[in-house]
Amino acid sequence: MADVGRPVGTTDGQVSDRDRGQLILVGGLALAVTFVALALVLNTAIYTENLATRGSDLAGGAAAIEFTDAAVDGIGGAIEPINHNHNDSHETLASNLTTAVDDWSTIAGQHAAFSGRSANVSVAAITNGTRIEQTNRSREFTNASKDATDWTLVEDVEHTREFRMNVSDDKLETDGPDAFNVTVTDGTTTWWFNVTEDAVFIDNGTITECSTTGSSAWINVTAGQVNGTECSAMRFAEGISTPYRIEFKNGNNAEGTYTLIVDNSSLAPSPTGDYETSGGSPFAEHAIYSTTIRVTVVTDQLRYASNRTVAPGEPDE
Amino acid sequence: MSDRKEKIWSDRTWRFQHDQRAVSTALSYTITLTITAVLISGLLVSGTQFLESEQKRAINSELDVLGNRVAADLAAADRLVQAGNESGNVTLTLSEAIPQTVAGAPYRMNITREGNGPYNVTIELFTTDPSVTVTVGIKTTTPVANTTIVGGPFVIEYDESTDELEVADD
Repeated sequence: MADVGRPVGTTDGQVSDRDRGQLILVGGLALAVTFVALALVLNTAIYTENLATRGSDLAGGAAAIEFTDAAVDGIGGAIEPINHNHNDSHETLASNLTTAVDDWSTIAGQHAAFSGRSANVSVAAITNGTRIEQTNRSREFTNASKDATDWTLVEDVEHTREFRMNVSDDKLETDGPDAFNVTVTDGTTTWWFNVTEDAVFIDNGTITECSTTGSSAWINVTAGQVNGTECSAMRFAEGISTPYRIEFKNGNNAEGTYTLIVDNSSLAPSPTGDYETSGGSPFAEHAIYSTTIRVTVVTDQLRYASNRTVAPGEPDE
Repeated sequence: MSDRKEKIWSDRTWRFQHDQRAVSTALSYTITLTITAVLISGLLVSGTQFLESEQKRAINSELDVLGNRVAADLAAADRLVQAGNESGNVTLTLSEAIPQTVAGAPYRMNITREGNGPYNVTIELFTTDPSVTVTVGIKTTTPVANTTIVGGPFVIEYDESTDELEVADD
């Protein structure tokens, strides 16, 4: 490269040692600024990359759903003792349920507050109903005065839940038209099932059989189970439109206990002549059929409120 | 006299033989400056291009992360609405704070849905200068309203009258 500097000793004055390489200096400075800008750009990606490592449920939606489901389970568990112990009238039941829900909401709300959530449960609506039950194990499935083997349990029903029966083998027929029969009818269509010594026969278009072994048969009608195993043909009131009525036929050919809760709220205050009014079986008591609760969950990112229907033991759709 | 002539001739010859200057000082100076300027400007141009391409890559990856964050929040809102939809009367407000700029550039989001039944929701995030577009897709059961919002903190709300999830600026 040619010598751009002046030889020592000349008095040119055009180029001095201090001015040497200005271009390289400026160029290097500009490049340094570029690299600093690059560092800034890449640094802004650090926060976003950190965001990428977090879970996908930062807002707490899963916790809100968990709390709501827990509220449904908890209040469902509270309904049964209230139905058994505070069933003087529908008003007593309602006030007891409201108190229970408020208590549950306070306690669960405190637990939720530990996790930074504000949660609340309140009763939005109550559907009154009637609980029909026979608790005397050695009594036949006839009406209270024992003068009718075919009788109507309840009319004008839209929903039924927790329909269970425990039938012992003693009075059961082996088969045939005299077997104990439970019929659900809306006036035009009928759904029924028979209980015989060896099996339960269900009519849902065709006759299907679910066998029962042992000396008694546990039948959970609304859950569709016979003796603890699933009986898929047992879909309560399948194809029956509302309102419907529930009847027992040949009640003298079965012995045991049963219980069901229907949303007909006029039977309990004025039971028909087929029920005992003072103790004894069968009886029709005031009950809560279902309640609608409003569950609210609030966190710093989420505000969620929804209504849920609590009706434990209702048949699945 | 011939002695003096000889001396002048040998002097010139000697200087010619030992002369190390190819051209004049001014020209060599110019050439050096030109070469240096070309090299330095080439370095600067490639450095600027490198910076731009790195910025585009950073924007791309950041938009991808933010788009997935929006999609995850939409999915959570969808689940919350569906969980409560049986008995109805669901109110939902879900807010999320995401940065307003990516690598120094502001961005916007297009949210569109198509289909019936399970809806295909497309979240398109784009910047204009430099121009980068990232698309994230998700399926929801609740319909999502078509909207365009400016990048930054947003709110997802459920409108029960139209049964739609709405994303809006916060």
